[in-house]
Amino acid sequence: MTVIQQIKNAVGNVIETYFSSDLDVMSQEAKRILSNPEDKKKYMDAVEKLKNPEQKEVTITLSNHEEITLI
Amino acid sequence: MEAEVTISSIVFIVMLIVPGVFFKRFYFRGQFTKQFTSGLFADRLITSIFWGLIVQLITFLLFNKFLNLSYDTIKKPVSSVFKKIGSNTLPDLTSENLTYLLVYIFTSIVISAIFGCLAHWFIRFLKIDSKFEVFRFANNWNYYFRGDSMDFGEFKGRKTGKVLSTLIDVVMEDGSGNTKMFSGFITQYQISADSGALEVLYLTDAQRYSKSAGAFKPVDGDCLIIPYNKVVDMNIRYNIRVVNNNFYKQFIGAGIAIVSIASLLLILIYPWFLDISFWRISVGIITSIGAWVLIVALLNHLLKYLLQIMP
Repeated sequence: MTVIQQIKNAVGNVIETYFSSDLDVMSQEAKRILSNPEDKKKYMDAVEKLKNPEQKEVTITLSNHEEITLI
Repeated sequence: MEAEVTISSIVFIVMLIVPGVFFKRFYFRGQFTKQFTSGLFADRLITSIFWGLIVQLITFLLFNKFLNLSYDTIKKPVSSVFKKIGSNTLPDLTSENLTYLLVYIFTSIVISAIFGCLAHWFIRFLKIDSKFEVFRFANNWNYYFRGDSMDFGEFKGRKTGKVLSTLIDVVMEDGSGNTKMFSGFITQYQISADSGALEVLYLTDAQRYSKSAGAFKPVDGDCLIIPYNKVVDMNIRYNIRVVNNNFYKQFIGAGIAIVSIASLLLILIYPWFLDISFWRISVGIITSIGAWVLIVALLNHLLKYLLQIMP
C-alpha cells in the first residue's frame, strides 16, 4: 500500500469516526465487508457458525488481511 | 393597537419560533426524524421558542462582535417602527435596514441548523442517549436494531464490542393460519409517524426456514419486505466484533479521543473570542480542522503500529 493510500485511509477513518453520523441500521464496516463477495462469504459463514450456542467466537481474515473476531 | 399585536406576533414567529423549528429539524434527523412532528403542539411550540431564544442570543452576540450591533443602536429604530405601526402609519425603512434584517434572519437560521447538527452529533457520538434515558430519542426500535441497546444499563455486561450487523429471525403469519420463519440482516425499517410503532422491516440476504429440509434456504431477491402487522415473533441477534481488550490500547485510545474532542471544541469555539475579523476566524477554523484531522489520523496510526510491535 502506498504512503498516499495509507494517509488517505487514516484520514478517512478519522472523518468516519468523528464526523459521520452513521445513522444507518447496518454499520459502515459491515457494509464494506458485505460489498466484497469473498469477505461476504467468510462473514456469512462466521455468522452461521455463531448460531450454534456452543460456538462462542469465530475469527475470520478479510481480503485486506485484517483479522476480525466475531462473538 | 391591533396592528401592534399583529406585528408583534409576526416578529415573535419569525425571530423565535422559526429558528427553534430549524434547530429541531436538524437535531431530529436520520432515524429520529419522525420525532420532529410528534408530540403535543404546545410542547413543540414551547421547546421551539426555547431553542429559538438561545439561537437569537448567539446570533445577536455574533452581530454585536463583528458588526457592532448593540442593543442601544437597534433600540431607537425598532421603537420608531413600532410607534409608527401603532399609529397606523408606515414606518420609515431604508434599504440598509432591510438588508440588515434579511442578513440577521438568514444568519439566525444558519446558526440554528449548525447548532442542531452539532447537538445531534454530540449526543450520538458520546452515546449520551444510550447511557442516559433522559436524552433518549423517541424511537426505541433504532436502539434495538443498531445494537445501541447494549449500552443500556439493563443490558450492561452481556457482550462488549462493536455491533457490525443485526440478524433477525422473524416468525410471521402466512394468511392461512400457519406460520413461516425468515432470517436476515436488518438494513432498514419504517415506523409510524404518529405512534412510533414499527410498520415494515427490510431484510437483506434473507433465508426462509424449510420445514421439509429442516434448514434455512436462501430467498431469491435483494430485499425482503416484511409488514410488521404479520409478525408473530421476532428474535434479534447482534454480530459483534471483538474490540481489542488490551488495557493500554483502551487507555491510550480513550486519552486520544478525549484530547481530540477537547481540541476540536477549542478550534471551533476559541477563535470567536479573538479580536480579529470574521473572515480570518472562518479561514482559521477551516485550516485548523484540516490540521486536526491529519494529526488525529497520525496519532491513531502511531497507536496502531505501537500495539502491533508491543509484546
